[in-house]
Amino acid sequence: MADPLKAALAISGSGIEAQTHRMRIVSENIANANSTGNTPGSDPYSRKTITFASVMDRASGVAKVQVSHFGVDRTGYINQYDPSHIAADEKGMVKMPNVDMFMEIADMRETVRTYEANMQATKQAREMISMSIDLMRN
Amino acid sequence: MAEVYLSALSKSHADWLSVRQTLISSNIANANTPGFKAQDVKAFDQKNTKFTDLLVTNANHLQGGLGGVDGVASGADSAWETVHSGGNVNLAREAIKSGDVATAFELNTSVVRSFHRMVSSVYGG
Repeated sequence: MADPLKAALAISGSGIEAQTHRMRIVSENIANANSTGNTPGSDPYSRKTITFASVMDRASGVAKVQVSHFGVDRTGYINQYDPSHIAADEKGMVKMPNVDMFMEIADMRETVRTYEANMQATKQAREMISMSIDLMRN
Repeated sequence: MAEVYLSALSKSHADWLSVRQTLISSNIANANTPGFKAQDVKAFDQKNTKFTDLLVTNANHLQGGLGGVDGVASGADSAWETVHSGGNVNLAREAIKSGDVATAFELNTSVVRSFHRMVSSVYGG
């Protein structure tokens, strides 16, 4: 019989790890918000996406979480008029990445919120374990 | 009047609370998983906790769920919100449930502690 509280710690750990991957993707998108190609008319950086899936942990029989897929956002690039740019085509248009700063910030906030919730769950499970251990103290 | 087996009762209640905390952790970890439905255990009932785990004769055998606590119900009936991706985990609800579990677990351990004190006072401990 698996200890449920130990399983709780493992689950929260998997949740925390998943959110760190999400944070990495958000930083990557923000850092590359202005990364264009360097030949005329070439494609710029494409926004990356991340999806999660729940996996059944066979040892403890509970649903953990893991990153299921790193994807690429296929929405169109933003065309900007900048004839002096290295990636400008013959009409002077430059393809800019499809990164929306507001969306990335919102995503980041959600990541932090979920990370915090996982931390609270970890703290709670740990407190419950130490409450049980404290019973052995006089 | 039926006898009350306090130690056994507090043990099964602590088991039930642990399983509930595990499901809360699982819900929170899967808060952003598309299509994940929040889970919870059925309300605690003294007769609800069955200890019918299968015997394990081989390390590769699958274990029958979480410590024999009966009835993992999906929380679909009490859905607070369903997000675009199809999941219905609400972090606020999970936090409230987690607080309930903490209070109940604390009460449970204090009851066990004072009961233990009663027993050991009999033995002059």
